[in-house]
Amino acid sequence: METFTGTNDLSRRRKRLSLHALSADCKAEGRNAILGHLGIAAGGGAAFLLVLLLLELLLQGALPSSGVAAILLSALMSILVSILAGIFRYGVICIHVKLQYGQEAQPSDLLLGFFESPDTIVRITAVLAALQTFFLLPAQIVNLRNPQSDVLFWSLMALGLIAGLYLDLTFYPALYLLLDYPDLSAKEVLQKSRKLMKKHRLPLLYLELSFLPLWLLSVCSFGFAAFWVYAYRNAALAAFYRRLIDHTI
Amino acid sequence: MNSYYTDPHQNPYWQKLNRDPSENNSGQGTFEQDPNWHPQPEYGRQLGRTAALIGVFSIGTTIFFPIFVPIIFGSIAIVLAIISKGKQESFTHGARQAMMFGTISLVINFLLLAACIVFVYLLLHDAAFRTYADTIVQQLYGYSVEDLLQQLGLTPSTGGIL
Repeated sequence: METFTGTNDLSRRRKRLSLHALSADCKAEGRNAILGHLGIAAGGGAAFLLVLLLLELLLQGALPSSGVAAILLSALMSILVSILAGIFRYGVICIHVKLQYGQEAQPSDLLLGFFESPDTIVRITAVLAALQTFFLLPAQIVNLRNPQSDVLFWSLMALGLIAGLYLDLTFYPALYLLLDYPDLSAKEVLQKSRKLMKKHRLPLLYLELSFLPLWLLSVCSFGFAAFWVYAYRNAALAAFYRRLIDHTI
Repeated sequence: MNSYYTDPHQNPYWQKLNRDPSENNSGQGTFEQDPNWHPQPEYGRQLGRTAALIGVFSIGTTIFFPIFVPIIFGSIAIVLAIISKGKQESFTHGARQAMMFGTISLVINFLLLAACIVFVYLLLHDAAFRTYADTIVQQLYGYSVEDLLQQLGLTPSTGGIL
């Protein structure tokens, strides 16, 4: 029994160590890719974040304050914002994947999503955004019907967020795959990314969580450092995709 | 052992989604490594030096514009220093300096911020401290702490804010 527990501890420790090593390798490859190209890497990310902020502000201004109409409109608008953000994100991803493969990235790559398979990007992001919105809908309905029930609201919210996180991790390589294989349809991309991420969600989650201290530092800098942290994170995610597609994870 | 899963064949999908056109109808992936690309450690050294400069600037602004400006520059110095490491095993000399200056600047300015918060709290809630501060402010500026707090929109009552 003691040996069994000891072996379990050892394997758990090994797994944790290898998770850390993979995350550190991806981050190192990401840093290496953006060195010397920090202008385009951080600038592209900054442009994307500013567009996203602008869209969110427009969304906030256009919505009624409460009621069923507000929830439905908010859901529709958030899907629309996600679709537009997805088109811009495709450009950001293109910049980072190019840098990862040692190719020259151009500022015009940021708008690539508008010219290269925009219909497939819209389909993929619309499906994912609709699912994300659907996961958060029960909490919003509970809040509307009974604003006093805090425990139920927060439980449903937590469940919705966990489901959303699982969805994000599962379909993280969707836009990368579309960029690498532009002939694939939206359905094929989603199927392939689901199969590709099988057993690889935990390393991706670990990689994302390893950026938490840097995000906290960005908060301290009132968001200014976020431009570089965002570029660094995207570069590390591109390195993770490269490992995923090259079978080196 | 550097990778999480060492056996690439344990996931059967790996064989299907490879870059062999005969097995994958989408054919070869668009992206291939540029053979002319080589890592440039010089970029890391340059970025490290820039980060060190921003770190020194954040220490300098601690004296002239304390708290907010140095916190922004200190954070940026640390982030750039981390990025400048690239694939190297250790930080460059400039990056180490940037980490040091950025950390010192952040620690000093967060301590200053905490001291300011404690000072205002004591002015509002501690009568003895307020009397003590009053005599010093009267000597230095010629007006009372109460005048100062009223200018700021605060009231030294039982601890409320106007």
